[in-house]
Amino acid sequence: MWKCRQVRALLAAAIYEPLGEGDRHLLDTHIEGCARCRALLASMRETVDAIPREDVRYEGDLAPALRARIDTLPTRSLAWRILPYPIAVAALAAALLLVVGVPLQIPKHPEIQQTHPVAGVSAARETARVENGEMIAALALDSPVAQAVCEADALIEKRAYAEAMRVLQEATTAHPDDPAAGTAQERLADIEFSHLRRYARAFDAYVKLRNQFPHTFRTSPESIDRFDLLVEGWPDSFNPLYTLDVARADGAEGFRALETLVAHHPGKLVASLALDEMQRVVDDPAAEGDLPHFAELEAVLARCNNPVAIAQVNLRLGDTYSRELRDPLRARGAYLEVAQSDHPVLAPLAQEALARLGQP
Amino acid sequence: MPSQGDANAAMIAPMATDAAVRAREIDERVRKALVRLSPSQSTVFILRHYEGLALAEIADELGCTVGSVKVHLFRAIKKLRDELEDLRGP
Repeated sequence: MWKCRQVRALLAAAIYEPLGEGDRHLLDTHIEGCARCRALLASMRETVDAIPREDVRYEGDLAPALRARIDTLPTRSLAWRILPYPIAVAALAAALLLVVGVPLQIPKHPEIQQTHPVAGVSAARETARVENGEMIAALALDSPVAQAVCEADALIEKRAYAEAMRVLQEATTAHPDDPAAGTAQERLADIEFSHLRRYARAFDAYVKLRNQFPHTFRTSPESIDRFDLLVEGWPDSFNPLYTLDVARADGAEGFRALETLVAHHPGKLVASLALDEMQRVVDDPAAEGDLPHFAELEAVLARCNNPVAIAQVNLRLGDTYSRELRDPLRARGAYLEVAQSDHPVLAPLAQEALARLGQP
Repeated sequence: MPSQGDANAAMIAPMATDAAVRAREIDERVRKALVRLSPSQSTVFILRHYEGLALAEIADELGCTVGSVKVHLFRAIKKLRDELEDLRGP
């Protein structure tokens, strides 16, 4: 039988649309035997029914509210960093809708523009689009390299990575001073890091991003994190990162490999990522929702054998007790376990954490 | 002298106002809750719920798979459900 997590996407779809025969059968079979998913479907349906379908039209001047909202969007928001162009633009339109109540017409990606017009574009929406043309222009969506980034995003979506890289490289070579050149370099680095997982090349790409496009680099926390991780992995020829990839791909079977990675790289970023993965592995996929962090960590602790790995789980457990549960007593217990060890890296970290907690 | 129609209108008017206030209150709460969704979750929810696009159309529009649209929609509704818990009936 399918697990809860596997049928959940069908729950949302079933609320709005009739499912295909196969999906319908899967969902029906599952919820017949699963009271939790049955209740979840009912409560989700009830929520959706309670949300009105009509949006309220805003009669005033849109410009100030739009500008304010644009100002509050992070310069390199998540949408711009990790989502393909059409999603990022749609997210922007969604943000505007939330502020002013008048949906902005979503500018289409060139490739999909011809295939499907957004249903029911009203006169009000058209007005909003024209009034906000200035704002769209300000985002430099029309520059040659920005267009290349859009094209590359569509190619990345189709997993045509080599072609995406060619498009980006050609555009930046032809227009090195384009305002979107930094974004193009960031995409190149992202392809190497997260899609091709060629860490040596990703390292070079992030070094170039950092040196030649410092503004793009500084305003992209994800790039900074990856750069730090690559700097850390460089002396070992990035082997810890490859080990992490293999362990991740092994799912639950990879737990021991992750534990070894944590044990061999105490206090390092790669150990922290491996610990994240261990938490994900122990989270029961059949459970309703995700386990709270402390419960995941306690489950990880119960399965660990290596003392250095155990110490790092305890450090994170201490942080979780302290910050999320506001339970200094349990936090102290977890930190003390580590502080009393003689580990040269981890014991001082635990002592610092104990000092931050203050006196009992 | 007021007619029977006027009397009915007088009775109906306060009820209509209450409903309007309630609808506005829900609308306000929904907007606030939507802001707290991730960009992809709110985009998918808005396109499906308010724009009425089919899931396949949203996937086409956003250049992603129908599967990922479903997942974003599931997470969006689940978060909205939690945020709007107190609006649900007993």
